[in-house]
Amino acid sequence: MNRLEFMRELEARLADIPESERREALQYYEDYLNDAGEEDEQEAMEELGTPEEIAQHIKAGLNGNEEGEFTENGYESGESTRRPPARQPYVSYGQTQGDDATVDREASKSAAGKMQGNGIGKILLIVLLVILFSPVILPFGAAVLGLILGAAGAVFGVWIGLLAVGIALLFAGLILLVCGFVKLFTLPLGGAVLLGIGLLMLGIGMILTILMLWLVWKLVPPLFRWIVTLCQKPFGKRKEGGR
Amino acid sequence: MVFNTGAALLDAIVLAVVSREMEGTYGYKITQEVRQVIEVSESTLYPVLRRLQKDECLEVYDRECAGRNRRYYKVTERGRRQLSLYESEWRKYSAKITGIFEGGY
Repeated sequence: MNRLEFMRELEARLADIPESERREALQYYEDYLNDAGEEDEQEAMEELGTPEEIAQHIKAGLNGNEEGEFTENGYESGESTRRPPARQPYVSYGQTQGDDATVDREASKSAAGKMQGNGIGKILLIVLLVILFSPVILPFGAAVLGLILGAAGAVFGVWIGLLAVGIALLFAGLILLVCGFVKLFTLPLGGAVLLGIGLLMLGIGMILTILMLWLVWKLVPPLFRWIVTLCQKPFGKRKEGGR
Repeated sequence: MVFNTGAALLDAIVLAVVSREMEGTYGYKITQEVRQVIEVSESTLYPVLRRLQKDECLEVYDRECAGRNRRYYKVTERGRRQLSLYESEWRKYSAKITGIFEGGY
């Protein structure tokens, strides 16, 4: 196909769009081939694709539904959707998903607008409310803080207690083992009992100690991270809101 | 490329490419420059340019070049605003993605 045929076929395939649109598109592709094809017109046309594909793209654009995706295979048009001509993400070719995306986008846009408009007013309102209700908030907050600290203290206390028991059992078990071993020569039966009890205590002590240490190892880093996130939250939000 | 390019991002890229030229630039050059960044077929860009033009983000004018008229595209004031919106959105978006990849919270 030479250039004349190429352009003629494109024109024929665009016969059903408005005259002005057709002229625009043909002028664009004339320009394009002029600029691209100085060296090799044929190659330029091949890269453009067939007139049929080009016409399809142009019509999809006119209908406001060039809602395909640009995938690794190039452009893939989603012909199934029909949408008012506005700029929207080509999220997918699925009808419902595409429409959802539109709605989401509008929503987030208006939300962003509201946030910008009321940002300062909102902050003022919050500050005012905090001041007004401080007689209520302060004791209540203190109570909550106290509760949290108390609970944390209790957990910590139980933990320390269990750890101490574990370590104590370890030592006691060791001592009993030594005693039992010594007794084994003078009083074999008593020695064996002592040895047994010692081994039992040693075992329980080991389990408790390891369990407690493991708990700390597993729980403290996430807990710490959580607290840091909690402290960062108000600042992060303000940064986003007040741009 | 593994990642797909959505319409908004393609609009943003086209606006950015066109806005680099104070005097405006023409279809073939825009296509080549966009294709250096993302994989789109040559025929994808005309509808995008046309739509941006209808949305008054781009304006066109013809300029004589080597004995013929060539259509030039230029970013309008509205297009510039749209582009800066895209740029700030992109900064936020890419920062969040990067944050997730690099294990922040």
